[in-house]
Amino acid sequence: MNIINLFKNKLDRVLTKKPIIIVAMIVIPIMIGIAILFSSKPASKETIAFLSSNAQNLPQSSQFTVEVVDKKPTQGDLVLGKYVAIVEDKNDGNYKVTSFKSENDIKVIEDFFKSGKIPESYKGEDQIMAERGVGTNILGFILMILLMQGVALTIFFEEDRNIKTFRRILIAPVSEKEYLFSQGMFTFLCLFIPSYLAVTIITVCFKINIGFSFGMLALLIMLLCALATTFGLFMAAVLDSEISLVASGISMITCVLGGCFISFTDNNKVLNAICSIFPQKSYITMIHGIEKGSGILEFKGQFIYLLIWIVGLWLFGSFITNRKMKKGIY
Amino acid sequence: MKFIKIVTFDFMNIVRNPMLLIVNTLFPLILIGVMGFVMSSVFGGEGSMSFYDYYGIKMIIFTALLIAMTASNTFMEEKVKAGNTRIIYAPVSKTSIYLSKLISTYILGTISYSILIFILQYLFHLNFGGRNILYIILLINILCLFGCSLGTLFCCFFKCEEGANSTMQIPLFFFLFFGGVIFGVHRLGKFVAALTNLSPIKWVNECAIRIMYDNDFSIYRPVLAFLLIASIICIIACQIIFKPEEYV
Repeated sequence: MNIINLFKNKLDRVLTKKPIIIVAMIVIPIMIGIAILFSSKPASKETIAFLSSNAQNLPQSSQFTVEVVDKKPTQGDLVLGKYVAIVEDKNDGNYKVTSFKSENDIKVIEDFFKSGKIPESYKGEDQIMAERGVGTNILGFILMILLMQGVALTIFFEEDRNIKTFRRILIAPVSEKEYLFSQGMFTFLCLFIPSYLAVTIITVCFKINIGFSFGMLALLIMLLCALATTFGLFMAAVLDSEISLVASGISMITCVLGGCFISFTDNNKVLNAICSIFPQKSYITMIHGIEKGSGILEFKGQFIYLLIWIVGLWLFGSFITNRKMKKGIY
Repeated sequence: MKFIKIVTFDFMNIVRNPMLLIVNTLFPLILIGVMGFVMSSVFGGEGSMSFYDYYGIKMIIFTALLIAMTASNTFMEEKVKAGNTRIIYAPVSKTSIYLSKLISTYILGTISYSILIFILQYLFHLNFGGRNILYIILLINILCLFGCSLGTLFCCFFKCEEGANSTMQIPLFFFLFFGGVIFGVHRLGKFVAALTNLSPIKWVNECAIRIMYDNDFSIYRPVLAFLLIASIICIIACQIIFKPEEYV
């Protein structure tokens, strides 16, 4: 009963906070929409600038567009990504390739001009990205946004402490676990409903195949929202101020390291081990597998690991709150 | 004299706040390290330009614009609000209230980003323009001023920190997304490529890279002038919008 009352109180209070409503109901769905639209659309091919006096039979490829130029592009053009490489025709069958890419890529481009073919095994940056799958890319991005947003929605916990309502609530027969649970329920619903609706509506309207069924998508986003919720509660319990600033920083860095934007494995075992501690890594491994056609049951390990993080963050959050309460900080 | 006193006090307030300090000093370093590390383990870091170089300037631009968040925190934090109310009652002009926050944040940005760029170039050997490093520092400096003015403007508009921060995220996100700092957006089609021209960050990024790699200063002055004018417009708008009596 307490939980329901506390939850109702939060719903009533959120009506006075227009910025929160605007961000949760409009901005986040728009961001998710942009992410879906752009990641489902293949990027245009990378361009190679070809400097030649008599350019005939340009090599064709599915990975590169060759553009003949009169003036040699500058280094800045390469850095800005206008061109991926500059190829100069030496007129004796040899080519000089200038690029910031790795030696291997340069070799491939040189052979491409000499023989007109790109080895089958070669994978450019776009191929590496595309192999991850559209759904994984999208959910990886949503994961970061929701981790930040989860903290922003835990605002009432912070506010209750600031205006000393929190102390009064806990004097009534309400445990801090119940309080955190009701706050968590509020955060979870405000995260889940707009983001799930945004994903489903956009994929249906624009006929985008995201790679998951709607039921599976609901489960995956639920898991993600639960993680974001308990992360928000935990951060709010640990920190007293600048919660949103710190949490945004932490989620940005851990999401990059956890492979939300790009999957990576480093040769260094220690660094790899550190990166796989983050729950994001398990989540990405799991959704990547599911998108490629495996069942969720094949990822029991990752699933349980995520659940441990979710429950652990919640328990730690309430433990810290309890201790601070006993010390009389609130 | 009074004004300098308020500025010093606001500045000390930021410095005493460890989180704001970390966001403007350590955070960019960590971000560059993480991005460089991840990208070079995916795409191989043996090219003639390392990913640390590539993300160095981009992440500095990214965090320099995010100083707008620090500005809104300096202005509207719960503890500072009480102090602001006192200044409102005191016989000082209303300009000094918002301008002091803007300038103190700007001073912090100037100091920390200049030192950061120096450290990154001379200690970590990243490319920040070599001999042209001072021009890059000036560019980032003016970008900080723009960020601070934007943050202050949103505070004047929304009269509370959370409102300012959450709405400010929208333009900041669009600037950064279409500025191509996070990833190259110009390849997403002609329409998006045209949209990127609207983002000031795209021009700052392009200007910095042209200076660093081509020694080409052709868009340097227009970009600086644009950022300065945009900052001045924000400050004028603050002067018009900011009404201390609504704030008590």
